[in-house]
Amino acid sequence: MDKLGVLSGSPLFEMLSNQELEYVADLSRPRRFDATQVVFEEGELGDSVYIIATGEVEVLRRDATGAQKVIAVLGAQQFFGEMSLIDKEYRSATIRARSDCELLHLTAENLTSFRKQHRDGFTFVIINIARMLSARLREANTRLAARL
Amino acid sequence: MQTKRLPEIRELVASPEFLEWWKDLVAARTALADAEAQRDELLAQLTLMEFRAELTQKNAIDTLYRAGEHEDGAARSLAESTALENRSFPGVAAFEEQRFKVSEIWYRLGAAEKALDDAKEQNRPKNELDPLERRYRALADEYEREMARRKRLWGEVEQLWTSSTEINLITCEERVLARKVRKESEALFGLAEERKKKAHGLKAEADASATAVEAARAKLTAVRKKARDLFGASVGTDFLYFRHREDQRQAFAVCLVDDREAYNVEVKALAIYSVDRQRGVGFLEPARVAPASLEEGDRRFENYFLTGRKGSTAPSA
Repeated sequence: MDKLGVLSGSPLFEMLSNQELEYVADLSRPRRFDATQVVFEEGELGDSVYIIATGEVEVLRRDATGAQKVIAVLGAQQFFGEMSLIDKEYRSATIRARSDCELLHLTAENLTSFRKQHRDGFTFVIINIARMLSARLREANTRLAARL
Repeated sequence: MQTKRLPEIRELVASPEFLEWWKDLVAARTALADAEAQRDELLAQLTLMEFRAELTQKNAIDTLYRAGEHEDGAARSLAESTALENRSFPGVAAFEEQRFKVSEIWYRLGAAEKALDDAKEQNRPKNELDPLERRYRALADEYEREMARRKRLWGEVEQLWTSSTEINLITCEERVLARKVRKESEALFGLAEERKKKAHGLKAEADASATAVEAARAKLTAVRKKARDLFGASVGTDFLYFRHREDQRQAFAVCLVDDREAYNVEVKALAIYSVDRQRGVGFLEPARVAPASLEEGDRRFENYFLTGRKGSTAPSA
């Protein structure tokens, strides 16, 4: 797997230098999932983020009746799991492989190593997560405003 | 364990001495893996051969029992057939006696018929013809009855002979089958013996391969240990360790394997990792000489925060 290629194209690592990306690549661990295999379940403890190298995953949440519904589909270079990484809460959704996929896995400890070595790079990772969360919040606000 | 700086370890890992040692290590590992694979293959073959020999032996014993059953069956059938033959003799005697009796009645019937015909030709009066007629009919009835008995007796004799013949045929086949199955059993005993011999040979080969595995393992251990003398490293199974010269709490670990699952990062052979003295390889960090330039970071922050805004009047989130 071309880890560097995947990471450099991911919005999670925008604005990182090559040196920083190389370091993140060394820290990340490739994981393979078969189609329909669950990466993690809603409500589990988790402190890691995943970047999709190949394939697609589904984001599922339980509705009021307890039935799981697909709320989003993520593809190559997108990332997930960052919310639990930041707020240290339980996983807010289930992630299931939609097709055979390859992911890059980065734990909180790996990111701490990255922070020790590349403080500015780490700050940009946090900024990128904040940007993503901000974009989602804006979208949610827009939807809410449309309903009011 | 020597103390070293990261550049020194990098230099060491790139040195011809180290690369020579690495080559020996890879060769020793390959030799061990090959020896283990050969041993496993031989053990698998041995187990299979022992199982097949045992199974063949069991089949041979079962087949021998089957041959015995056929022999017993043949003996039983022979006895039955003989009994039927013996039972047929009185039947034949009764039939002969009956046949004689029927012949006699037939002659008498012929005489009665002739007497009746002669009387009729001579136009004898009715009171003379009637007794002759009655005698003729009585003899004809007797003849018919006794003839039927003769046929029944013959039928009984034939039935006994048919049964006896059938049983005789089965007896003959049982005898042949007994011989055939006994031969099969003997062949199976031979095959079982042959397989036992093969298993014995494989056992000898497996023992030799186990010795080869031990030798290859000892060689690998020796090559690993050599790293301590040659490079001053502390030697683990998958890593060589050096103390960090500037930081007592840290050490450097030179990885000797490729592994994407067992550690917190995907490790690669000959890559250098920084480890904490307490946690060791429980938590690996790729070793780096120094943090990135602050200036580069500063410029990026300026670019991100101070340029490219969408406008001062834009609604804030």
